[in-house]
Amino acid sequence: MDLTTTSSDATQLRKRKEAEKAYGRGRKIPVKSIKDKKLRGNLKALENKYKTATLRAKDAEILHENTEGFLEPEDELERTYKVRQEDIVAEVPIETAKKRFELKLDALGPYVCDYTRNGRELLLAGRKGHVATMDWREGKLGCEIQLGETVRDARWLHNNQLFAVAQKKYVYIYDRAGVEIHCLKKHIEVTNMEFLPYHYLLATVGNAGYLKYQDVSTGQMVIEIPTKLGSPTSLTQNPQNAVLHMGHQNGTVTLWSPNSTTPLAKLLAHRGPVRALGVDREGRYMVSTGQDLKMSVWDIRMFKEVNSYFTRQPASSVAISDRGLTAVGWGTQTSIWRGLFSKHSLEQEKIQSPYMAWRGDGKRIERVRWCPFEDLLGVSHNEGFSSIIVPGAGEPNFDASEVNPYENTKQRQEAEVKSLLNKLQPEMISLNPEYIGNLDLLSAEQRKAEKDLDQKPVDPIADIKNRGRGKNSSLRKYLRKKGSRNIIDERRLKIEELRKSQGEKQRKRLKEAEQELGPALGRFVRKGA
Amino acid sequence: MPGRQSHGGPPSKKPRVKNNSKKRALDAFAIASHTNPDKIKIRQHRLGVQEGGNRPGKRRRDEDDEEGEEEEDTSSKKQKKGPAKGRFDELDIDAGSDSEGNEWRLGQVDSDDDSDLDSDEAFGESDEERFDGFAFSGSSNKQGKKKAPRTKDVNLDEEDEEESDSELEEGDLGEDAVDLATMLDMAEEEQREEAEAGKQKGSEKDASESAEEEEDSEESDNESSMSSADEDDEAANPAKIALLQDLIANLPQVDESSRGPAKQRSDGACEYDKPRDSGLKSKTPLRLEDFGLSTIKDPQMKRSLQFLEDNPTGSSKKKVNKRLEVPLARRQQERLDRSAAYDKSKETLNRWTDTVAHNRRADHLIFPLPDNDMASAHSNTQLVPTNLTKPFNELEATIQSILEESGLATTDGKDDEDHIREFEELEANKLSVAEVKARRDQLRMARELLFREEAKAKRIKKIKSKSYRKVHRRQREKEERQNREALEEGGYVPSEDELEVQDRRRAEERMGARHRGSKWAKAMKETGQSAWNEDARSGVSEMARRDEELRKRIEGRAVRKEFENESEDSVSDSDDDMSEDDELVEKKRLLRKLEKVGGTPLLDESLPGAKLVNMDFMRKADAARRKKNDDMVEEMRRELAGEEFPSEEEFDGDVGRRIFGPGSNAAQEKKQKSNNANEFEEPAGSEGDEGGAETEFRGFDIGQNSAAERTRSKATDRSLKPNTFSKPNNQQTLNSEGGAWSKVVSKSSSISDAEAKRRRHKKNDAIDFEELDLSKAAVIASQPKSRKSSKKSIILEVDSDSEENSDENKIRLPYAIKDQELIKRAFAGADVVGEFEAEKKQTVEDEDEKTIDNTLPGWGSWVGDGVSKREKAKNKGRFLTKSEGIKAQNRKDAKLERVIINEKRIKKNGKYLASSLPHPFETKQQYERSLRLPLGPEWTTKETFQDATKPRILLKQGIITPMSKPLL
Repeated sequence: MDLTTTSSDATQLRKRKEAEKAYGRGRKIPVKSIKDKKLRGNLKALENKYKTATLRAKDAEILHENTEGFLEPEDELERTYKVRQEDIVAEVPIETAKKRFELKLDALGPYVCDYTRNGRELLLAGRKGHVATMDWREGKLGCEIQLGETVRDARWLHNNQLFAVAQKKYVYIYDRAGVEIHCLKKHIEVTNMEFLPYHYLLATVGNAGYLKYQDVSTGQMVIEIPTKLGSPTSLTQNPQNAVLHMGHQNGTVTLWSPNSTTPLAKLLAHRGPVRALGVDREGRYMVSTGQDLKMSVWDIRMFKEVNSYFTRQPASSVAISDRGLTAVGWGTQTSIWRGLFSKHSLEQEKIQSPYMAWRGDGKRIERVRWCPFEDLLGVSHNEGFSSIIVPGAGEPNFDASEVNPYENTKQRQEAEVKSLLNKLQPEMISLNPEYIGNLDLLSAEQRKAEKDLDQKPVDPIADIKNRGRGKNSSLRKYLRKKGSRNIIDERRLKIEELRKSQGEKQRKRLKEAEQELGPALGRFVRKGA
Repeated sequence: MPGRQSHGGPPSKKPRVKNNSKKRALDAFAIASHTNPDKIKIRQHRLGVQEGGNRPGKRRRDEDDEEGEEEEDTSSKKQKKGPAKGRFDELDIDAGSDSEGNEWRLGQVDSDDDSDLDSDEAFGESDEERFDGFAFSGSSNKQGKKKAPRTKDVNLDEEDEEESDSELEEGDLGEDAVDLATMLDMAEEEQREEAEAGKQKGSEKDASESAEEEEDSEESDNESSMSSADEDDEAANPAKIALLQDLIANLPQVDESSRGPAKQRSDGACEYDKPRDSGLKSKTPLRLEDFGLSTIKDPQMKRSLQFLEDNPTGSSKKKVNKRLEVPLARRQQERLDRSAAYDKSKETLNRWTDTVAHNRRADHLIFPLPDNDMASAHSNTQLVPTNLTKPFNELEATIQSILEESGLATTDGKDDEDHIREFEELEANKLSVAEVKARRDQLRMARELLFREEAKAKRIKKIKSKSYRKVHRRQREKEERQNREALEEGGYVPSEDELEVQDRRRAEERMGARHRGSKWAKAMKETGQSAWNEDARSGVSEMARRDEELRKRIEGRAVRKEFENESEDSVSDSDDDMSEDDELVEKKRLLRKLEKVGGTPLLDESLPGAKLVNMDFMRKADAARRKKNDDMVEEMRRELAGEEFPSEEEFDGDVGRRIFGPGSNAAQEKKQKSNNANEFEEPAGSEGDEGGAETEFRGFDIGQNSAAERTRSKATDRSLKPNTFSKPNNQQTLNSEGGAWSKVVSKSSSISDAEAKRRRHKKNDAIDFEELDLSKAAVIASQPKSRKSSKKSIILEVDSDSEENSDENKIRLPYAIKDQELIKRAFAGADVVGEFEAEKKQTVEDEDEKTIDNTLPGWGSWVGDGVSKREKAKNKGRFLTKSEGIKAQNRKDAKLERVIINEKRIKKNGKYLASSLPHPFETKQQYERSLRLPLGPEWTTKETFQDATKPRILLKQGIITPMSKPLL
C-alpha cells in the first residue's frame, strides 16, 4: 500500500479537520441538489469562501506567537497543586514575579475586586466604603475614596474611565478620578452588578429581586424585570451571548435577557443557595457552587449537568479564565481546576485533583477574578487583595483591535468611539446570538394574531399634505427630489392626486381673480400667490 | 483632364506603349489580312477585360458634352486608381495566361476590348437614331459577317471592339481613323482628340469604361462570340463589310430590344454602368465618388456596383458572360439585406458574449480593463525598458549613446530584428510582385520547417526525459533491493505474498489514479477533445484498453474486490464529470483508496503463503503490520466520516491517542476474530493502536522496525496486562466493595459484548481507565452512567479529596459521609426539588395547547333550576376553541429533569428576524448558511475580510476605454 500518499492525505485531512473544528461554522449545505444554476454557483462559491476562511484562520494561528504553559508534573507522584506561590516566584522572571503581590487592607474589608477589560487596572471596594482603583502593574493608585457607607459591589464599565459602585441604597457611577458622576436612583439596594460591554448595559439586581438593565451610553433604563425569586445570591454573565445567569436561594439558576420578563431557562443546580457562578468564555459551560457543598459543571447549551464535585466548604466565588481554568474560592482557600470541561470531548472527564491551590493563610476569600491576558488570579479577601500567579491561565495572544492591554490614551478614545458605533442593541440578546437575520418561522395565523389591530393606519402622505404652499412646499420638494422616480406606489398615487387637486384649486383661484379684475387688468393676476 | 494625366502617367506608361505597338501591328496586318494566328489568342482575351476607355467617352461627348466630360473625368480617376491595383491583377491573370502566350498582349487586347465595348455601348444608348446609318469602316465588315449567323449585337460589339482598337490607334495615324473621321461628325473629332489624350495615358485608362459593354456581353454568349470573333478575325474579308454594314443598320433596333430593360433600369443614372465595368476590369477598389456618382441613390445599384467590384478579374470572362439577374423587389431585397446584416452583426456581437458573461460573473472588476491597459500608453507605474523611451535629458542621452555604442541598446528603440524587418520591407518595395510572392513562400517554408524542427525537438526531449525517468526508477529499485537485502541479512525474507502485494500495488497505481488522473487524461476530459479529435480519441480508447487489461490481470486473483472497486470508480468518475464539488470527490477518492488499502491484506490472506510466512514471528510481524494499517485505515475512514457528520466529531477528538482498557481491547479482540486472525496475541492489538499513528508516516521501513516493535510491544504489554485487567468498570463500581483494586474481579467477569462495543466508542472512558491505573484515584462520573447508578451505594475511596457520584444525594465522600448526611438534613426543610418539579409541571401545563370552552350558559340553551344534568352536559362543549401551544413531549426540556426552558416566543428578538425567505434562496438552510460567516475583521483574517469587502468594481487611474477585443 502506498503509505506515503496515505500519510500525506491523512495530514491534509487532519489539517482540514482541525481547522474545521476550531474555526468551522457549522455544517455545509448540500449544494448539488439546488436546481437554480445561479444560486448553486453562488452557494458553491460561498462554501468555498467559508472553507478558505477557516483554513486561513487556521493558518493565521502562526501569528499566535505566544503559547500558554502549564505546570507539568514530572512523574506520576508529583502534584501540581502542591506547588506553592513562593516556589513559582522563585523560578519565574523578575518581571513576572513582580506581578505576585499582596495588598494588606485589613481595616475595611472584605473586599471585592474587578479588573478592566484589558486587565490594566484594578478596582477594589471594601465592604465598609473604601473604594480604590489602581494600575496594578505600576502600583499606581488611580483614585481612592471613602464612601462612608456599605459597598456591596463594584464594577468597571467599558473602560478604565468609569466604574459603578453598588452602595447602601443606590448605585453610583464614578469617574477615573473618583468623582461621582451619576447616582442611579432606580437601582435600589443592589447586591450584584454585571456590565455587558458590547451592549453598554449595566445590569443590577438588588435585595428586592428586581433585575434592571440600564444603558450607560444613553442613560435609559432598558427594562426592569421582577425575578420573583427573592434576593439573588449570585450573578454572572455569559460572555458569549450576554445572557445573565442569576443564582437564587432555592438552588436554581435563572437565565435572563432584557427581552423577556420570564427567565429564558431555569436550572435546578443545587439544593441550597447558589453561592457563585462562572461561565466560560465560549459560553459552553457554566460552573456553579452552592451552599450544599457542591460544585457542578453544566453544559449550558444542552442544559445538562456534566459533572459535579464536592467542596469542603461552600465556595464563595468562581471565575473561569480565558484558557478554561476555573478558580474557586472557598473558605480561606482558593483552588484552581484545570480541564473541568473540554469542548472537544463528548464526555467530560472528572478531574481528581485541582491544578493549583492557594491557601489564604486565614483570609476569608470574598471574590476571585482572573486578570485578562495575564497568568494572574486576583483574590480579594477580608484582609485586602492578593495577586497570585497561575501559569497557563491567561490568553497569551490578544487582539489589539478588540481589547488592547497596551493601549494609550488615543487608542483608548478611539476604541471607545468604535465600540459605541458598534454597540449592540439590547434586543439582540438571546440564548443563540447567531439568530440575527435568520428566518422567522412564525406561522401566518400567529403573525396575524400578533398584529396590533388597533393600530392606526399610517397615512403615507401625512408629512406632505399640510406643510407649506409656496415654492418650496413639501409637496413640491417631494416631487422635485423623488417625483421622477419610476416607482408607482400608493404614496405616489396619493401625491399625484394631491398635486392635481392643488393645481385645480390654483387655476380656479386665478380665474376668479381675473374675473374680478376684469379683462384689462386680468393679465396682471399673480400666479404664485 | 489634367488630373488624368498627372495621375495616370507613370504607371500606365508601360502598357500603353505596348498597346500602341500591338495596335500598330494589328493595324498593319489585321486590317489588311486577319489571318494572323496570334491574333486569335488575343481576341480571346480581349473579350474579358479592360477596354474601351476612350470610346465611350467619345460617344458620350457626342451626345451630351458636359456629361461626357464628367464621365471622362471619372473614368480618368478610375484609371488613376486602376493601374495601381490593376497591374497586380493583370499579373495574376498573366500567370494564367502565360501558357497561352504573351502577357502583354493580354493587357493590350483587353484595353482594346474596353474601348470597343464602349463604342457599342455608345451605340446602344440612344445614339441609335443618330447613327442609324453608320457603320464602322473596319468593323462593320466583320460585324456583318458575324451578325449573319448570330444576329446578336454582342458579336458585333466584339468586332467593334477589335475594330475600335485599331480605330483608336488609327484615330491617331491609321486608315481606320480616317474612316471614322469621315463617318463621325465634329463632335466625334473632338472626342477623338480626347481619346488621343487618353491614349497617351495608356490603354489602362480604357479599362475603366462603360458597363454598357458588359451588359451587352452578358446578353450574348461570350465564348461563342469570342470564337466567332476570332474566326472573323482570321477571315476578315473586306467583302463581308457590306453585310456587316447591313447588320449595323439593323443593330440599333436589336440593341434596343435587347437592352431595353437594362437601359431603362439604368436610365436614372446612366453613368453607373461605366464604373461597374471598370470595376470589373481594373480591380481597383473604386468608390462611387471616383465615378462622380455620389448621386446614386438607388441602393440596388450601389449593391450591384459593389458586387462587381468584388469580383476578381481572373473570372472576368465568366463575369462577362454572366448576366445580372433581374434584381428582387426592393422590399424583398431589403429584407434579405437586413437578415444578412443581422446575421453578420449577430456574429460579431456573439464574439463578445463570453467576455460579457465572464465580466458579469466576475467577483471583481478592475477598470481600466487589462487589455486596454496594454494598448494605452505606459503609465508611470509600469517599468518600461529604457530603450523604448526617448532620453529626457542630457544625462540620459549620453547614457543612451554609450549603450548604443557598446551595443547594449539599439538606436531608436529598435533592435536588430526590427532593422532586419525594415530592411526587408524596403527590399520588398523594390521587388516585383512575383518575387515578393516567391520570397514569402520561401519564408513560409522556412517557418514551417522551423516549427517541425521544434516539434521534433520537443518530442526528442520527451523521450530523453523518459529515459531519465527510467534511470531514476532503476536507482529506486536498486535502493529497494538493497533494503531488501539488508532485511534478509537481518533474517527477514520477503515472502511471495509481499512480492505479490508489491506487484499488485504497482498495477493498481497504474490502473488507478496515476494513469487516469494523468495530466493528459484530465486535459482530454476537460476539453472534450476526444469528441472530435481523432488522435485524442484513439488515445483515450488506448488508455481504456490498457486499463481494462490491467484490471483483468488483477481480476485473475480477486474478482470480487476489483469489481467493487470498479463500480465505485465508475461512480466516482461520473461524479467527476458532473460534480463540481471537488471536496466530495476528493473525499470519495480517499475513501476508495482506503478501501483498497484496507482490502488488500484481506485478499492476501486467502493466498497461499510461503513456508516462511507461516513461521511464527513472521506471522506476528505481519499481523502487527496489518493491524496497524487496519487501524490507520479505520481512523482515516472515521475522520472522513467525521467530517461529514460533525456530531460524531467528538468521538475521535483525540486522534492517535493511546487506548487501553477492557472495552477497547475486547472490541479489538472481537474484530480480530472476525478477521480470522485469532492467532494474534492480545498485545498485538494494543500495540497496533499505539503504533498506528507512527507507522502511518514511516513509509517503507515497517519490515525493519516490526521486529523491534514486536519485542517492545511484548514488554509493554506485559506491563500493561495487569492494568488492563485491573480496570474498573463503572457499571460495577457501585458494588459495595470499595477501592479501585477491588473492582477488578467484578468487572472482568461481566462485561457483555454489547457493552464493550459501546465502550469502544467512548475513548474517554478508556483514557480514564488508564489514568485511574496510574493514579489509582479516578472514577468516571459521566452523566449517563451516573444516572444508571441510581441505587444508593457509597463506596469508600482509598484516596483523594474529591470523589463522588454525582447523582442526587449520593455524594461519595470517604471522610464526609456524615457531612453529607448532615447536609441532606440541613436542606431537608426546603424541598427544592419538589418545588421545582411542581413549577415545571405548571409551566408545561400553561404552555401546552388548550381547548377553551366558549359556551355561554344560557345562550341558546336553558339554565337555572330544573335543567337536567344531561342537558347541561349537552350544552357544555358546544363552542370550543383550541389555542396553540407546545405539547409536553415536544418541549425542549422534555428529557431534562432539572431544567425548565422557556418556550415562549420572544417578540423583541423578532425584530431581527427575516420575515420571509429572500428571493434567490430555496430553503431556510441555504439562506441562513449564507449569513453564517461574519464579514467583520474581528471574526476573520485580514485576507478574508478584505476579500469579502472588496468592492465589485475597482477604478484605477487611467482612461477607461471600451474593450478593443473580446477577452476570451
